[in-house]
Amino acid sequence: MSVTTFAAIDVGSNNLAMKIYEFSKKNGLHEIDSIKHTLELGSDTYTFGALSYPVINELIQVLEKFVVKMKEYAVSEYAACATSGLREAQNCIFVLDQIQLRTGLHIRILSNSEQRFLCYKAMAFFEKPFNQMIAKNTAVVDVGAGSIQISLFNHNVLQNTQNIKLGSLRIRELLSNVEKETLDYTSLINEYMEYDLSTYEHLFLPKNKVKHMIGFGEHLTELVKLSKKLAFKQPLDIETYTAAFQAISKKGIEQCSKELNLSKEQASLLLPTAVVFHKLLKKSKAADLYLSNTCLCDALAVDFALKQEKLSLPHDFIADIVETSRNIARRYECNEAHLNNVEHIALALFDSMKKVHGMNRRDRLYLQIAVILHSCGQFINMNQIQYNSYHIVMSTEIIGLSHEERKLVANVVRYKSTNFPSFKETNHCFDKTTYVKLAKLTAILRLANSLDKSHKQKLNAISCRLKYTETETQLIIETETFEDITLEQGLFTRNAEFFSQIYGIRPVLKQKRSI
Amino acid sequence: MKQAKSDFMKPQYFRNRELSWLDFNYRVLHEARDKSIPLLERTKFLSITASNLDEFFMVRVASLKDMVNAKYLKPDLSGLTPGEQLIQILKKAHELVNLQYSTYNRSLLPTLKQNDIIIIPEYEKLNEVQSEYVDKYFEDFVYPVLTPMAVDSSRPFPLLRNKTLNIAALLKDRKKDKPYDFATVQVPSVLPRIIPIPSEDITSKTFILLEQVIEKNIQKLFLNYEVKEAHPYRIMRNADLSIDEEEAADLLSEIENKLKKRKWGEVIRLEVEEGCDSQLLKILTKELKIKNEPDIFYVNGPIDLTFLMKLSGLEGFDHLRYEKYIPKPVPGLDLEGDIFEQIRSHDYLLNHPYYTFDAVVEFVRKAAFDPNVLAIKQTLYRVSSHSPIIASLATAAENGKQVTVLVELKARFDEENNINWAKKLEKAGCHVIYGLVGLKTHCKITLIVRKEEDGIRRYVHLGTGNYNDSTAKLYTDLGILTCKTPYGEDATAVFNMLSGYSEPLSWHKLSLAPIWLRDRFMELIERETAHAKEGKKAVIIAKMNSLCDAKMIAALYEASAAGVEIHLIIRGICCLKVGMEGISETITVRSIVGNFLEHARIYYFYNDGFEEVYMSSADLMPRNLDRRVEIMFPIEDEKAKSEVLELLDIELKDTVKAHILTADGTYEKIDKRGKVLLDSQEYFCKKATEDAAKLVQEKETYRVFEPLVPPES
Repeated sequence: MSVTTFAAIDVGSNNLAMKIYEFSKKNGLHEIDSIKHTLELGSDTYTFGALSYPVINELIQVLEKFVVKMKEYAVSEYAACATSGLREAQNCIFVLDQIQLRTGLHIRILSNSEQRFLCYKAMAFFEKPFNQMIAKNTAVVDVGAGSIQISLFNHNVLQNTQNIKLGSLRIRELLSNVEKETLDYTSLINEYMEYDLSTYEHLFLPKNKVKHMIGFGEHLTELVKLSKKLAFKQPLDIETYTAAFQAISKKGIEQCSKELNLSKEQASLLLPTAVVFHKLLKKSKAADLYLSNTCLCDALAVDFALKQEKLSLPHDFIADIVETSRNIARRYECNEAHLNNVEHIALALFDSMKKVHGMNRRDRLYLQIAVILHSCGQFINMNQIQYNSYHIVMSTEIIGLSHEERKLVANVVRYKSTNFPSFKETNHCFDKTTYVKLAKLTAILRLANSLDKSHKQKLNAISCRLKYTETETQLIIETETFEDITLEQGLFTRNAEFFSQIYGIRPVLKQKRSI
Repeated sequence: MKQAKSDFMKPQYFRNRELSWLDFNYRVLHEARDKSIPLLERTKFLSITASNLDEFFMVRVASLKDMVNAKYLKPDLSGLTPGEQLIQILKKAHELVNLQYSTYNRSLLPTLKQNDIIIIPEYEKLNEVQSEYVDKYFEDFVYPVLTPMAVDSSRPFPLLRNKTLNIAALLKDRKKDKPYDFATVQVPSVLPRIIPIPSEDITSKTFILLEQVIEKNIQKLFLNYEVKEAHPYRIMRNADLSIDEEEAADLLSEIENKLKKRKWGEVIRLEVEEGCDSQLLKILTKELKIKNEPDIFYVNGPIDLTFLMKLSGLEGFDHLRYEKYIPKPVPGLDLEGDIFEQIRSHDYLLNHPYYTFDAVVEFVRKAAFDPNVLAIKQTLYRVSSHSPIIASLATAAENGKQVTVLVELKARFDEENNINWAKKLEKAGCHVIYGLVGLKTHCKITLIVRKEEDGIRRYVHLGTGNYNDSTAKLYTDLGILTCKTPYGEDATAVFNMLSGYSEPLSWHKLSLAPIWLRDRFMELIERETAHAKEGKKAVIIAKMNSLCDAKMIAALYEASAAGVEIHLIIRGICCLKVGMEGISETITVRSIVGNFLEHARIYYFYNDGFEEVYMSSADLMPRNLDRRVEIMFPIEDEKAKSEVLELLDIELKDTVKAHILTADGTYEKIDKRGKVLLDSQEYFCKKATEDAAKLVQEKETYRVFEPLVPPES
């Protein structure tokens, strides 16, 4: 029986954690060891913008110990990633280089949306209630060191997600100056958070009547135990949580750290975390709160196992990414019928060229999202739609996509109707492979979009196939519509030119009039 | 009637721990006085009482002196201030010393002589042949290593080493007419204290003590002087090693520094011979700054009786000792076979010294050579000088295994030793860690990580005693070998914690001090109390070395008040009092002092019929529960559990070596009339011997001639 030993390392903003897992097709995934070291990278990064030498040194020393631990289990595969504490540090690249040289570990920087998305995957795997709860309006609230992430699920699909920079460590650092000047630290935090959270409430919450809340963040479980002094039952009702919250807000950092056996640093992060939940529960009027113990290490393990096809998840996460994109389009009042039509055509084009375009499923997803978001800029201004759309995509978080991926999508949107730049003109914004991919996706989007220029969805039923003649390869697009497609035909020809340059294939639009 | 917790915390309910400790030393002395015990064993026990008392002074008395010096007035559990305690302790210690010497002079010396072992008490009693021999011995071996030191205005009083024997002398300058000079010379510790000399007849052996040899020849050290008086003396200094760990940047070097300093602590005890010259004594007390008369012990015989340990091992006198017990193989555990496979089939209980400690040694050794073993982790507190375990750990590291060893540097009086082999292990490539700041790592745990067909499997040894193959032949200790997953996961978490990582959210099986163990004990005791209150049967049986934690004792009182039946087997200190009406009527306390040092800790709870048995490295003392890393682990394997229950049962039935604590606070031996004589240690030796015999028999019955395999080309 083949058993894989896998290590997941999380270079977090206030903790360095490593978990060792074992998995096999027979026994699935299970954890065999877990270690955690408190090191507040975020404290340096959020305050000074960069990591200081002593912190870097400690970071590397701990990672060296992690490497020893990996040897203890003869770990064959690992994934190591870092989040905002390192990501936002100016000297991030140098730190990564030093880590690589001294420990041999390659650390991947996760963008926020990737990180959260991974965690949702892990929850879907480890937490059975997750999959039941997200059937009905559920807010998943993840309080990290740097920021919090609130995602709303309904009908088993992710509806929208928002990141707010109200992470526990960030709050503590921001308020550290004034903390000593107040006796009521809790209301200070309250006040600081109020505006951001109200804004969030106005923008996202009213439309969704939140039924449940799922929380994760450090030491939350301990917090609740503190108030009750007995094992609590999940999910918690609001009273239990409120009692816990009140207990902690009265106790102060010293006492909390003593009663919970936490270091003072860790205890000082409890209060900001607790306030976030307290406020969100109040604003959303959720009936209960389920606390998850899943962590990023779990997420890395699940992700790895999925890639090795040793696991399957009960939840379709690709659908979540698509659904959140649609919700973004709705937010900017895009023409849904048009979008659906273009999406249908674009994907049909993509699929028909599978053998020749050299792209994969992930690229298909980029195309799909680009189509969905290609016209959102019109919400701002009827002119310069592409330019505005590009900026909207760039500043909207799309869960599950990394920053680089989002940049690619945004550019596909941007060059939908503006001049496609030469490689030189992109100023090395992309590497050559990505540049080619950008061109390919843009070509499909342009072509697909031109087929519904009238926004009347004339080409509902189309079929696409490749045809090889003696002199060239053609992409035959056949439609059965009875409507006049002169407008589409005209635009199609113009965009076909660009398409042929990219793919070396000539698209041909045929209106099928006979049986 | 409901009683509040504080009702059980009154000072009159507690016995002072130091006085209780002295009681323990009396019980050991009792063994030295017991005529039914072989003579050289009695000699050994007397020697033990002497070394025990030395340690007691250096640590406990010293600490009390520190408190008095610091004007610390907080009373102990029994309501005595440090000053009051010192007065009572010294009084009792003087009585103890008197009893030691009367045992030595009146009982042991004459009986030894009857058995042809002669110790010449004073050099004046040597015959001519012996006298010549002694003088020659002095010139050849002693003289070259002596460093006599005179004291006068230009030469200050020298720094005397702690616990060393010295001879003080009063000198008169032959040329000048001047008052007496003072000189001192250390009895060299590099030479044997007890020296064999020619006997008057062939059958007997005769000895003299080194200080007598020097005294006899002391004139040779001070040629221009006349030696008026010469008497041996010994001082004891404050040796309590309390380091402020928060301040120590490097723990290792800090302890190395402390070791050097320890030699010059305050003098807390001076021993001189009875009849020591008063002028000499005056000089000594003045120079050593002794202000308290009871700090001076006048002994009727040789100072420092620990030399008797050597004597008790004298060759050719086996008939004066117990027959040497050789630990037997653990039933069912074939050390030559695949030890891991055997542990996979079920847990093994190890009951030392009745069954061999080789099981543990072999467990580590096999791991060092097993290609599937990835990592070995172990805590080491006190190890023997040529420890096979350390050798195995070093080998394992050389074989490419990840070896992590926790070395406890703060093991009392073993620091120097521990630093040495910690460095040795580091050289071999082991990861040596030194535990947590402010906490002594006292738990005994070994974890072996092995990569097997179906994934990682962890093998764990948990014990009540040190990983020391020498003491494992003398101390009674228990251990288990298991590979059950919850134990493995907990063991991993223990080492993570000891390496400085965050502790786990919860434990499966183990309870750890300092954070969780105290609460766990409370829960277990209170559960019995609750059962008793509901009218159910409730029993606690606990075996440990010392009981002096106030909260634990109060909880036991509360349990007793509720009707819980409590039987305690406590070798050493016990601050609990029995037979107090409404408080401790259902509690019995017994102390077993025998040939082996009782060392295991077992905690049994009846739990309404769902009996639970735990073993631990911890006693119920504040230091174990609050300032050390300790582990308590449950015994769940049914066979192992029944073995532990038998052990408790037999010890509770012991009528030979048990002393029973009475309501007036004294310990009494059991009145044997009309009772079956049962010596629990002897019982287990016999049982193990029978087991071993059965094993041999089985092997013989199932003997099959093995065909020879053709030699490999």
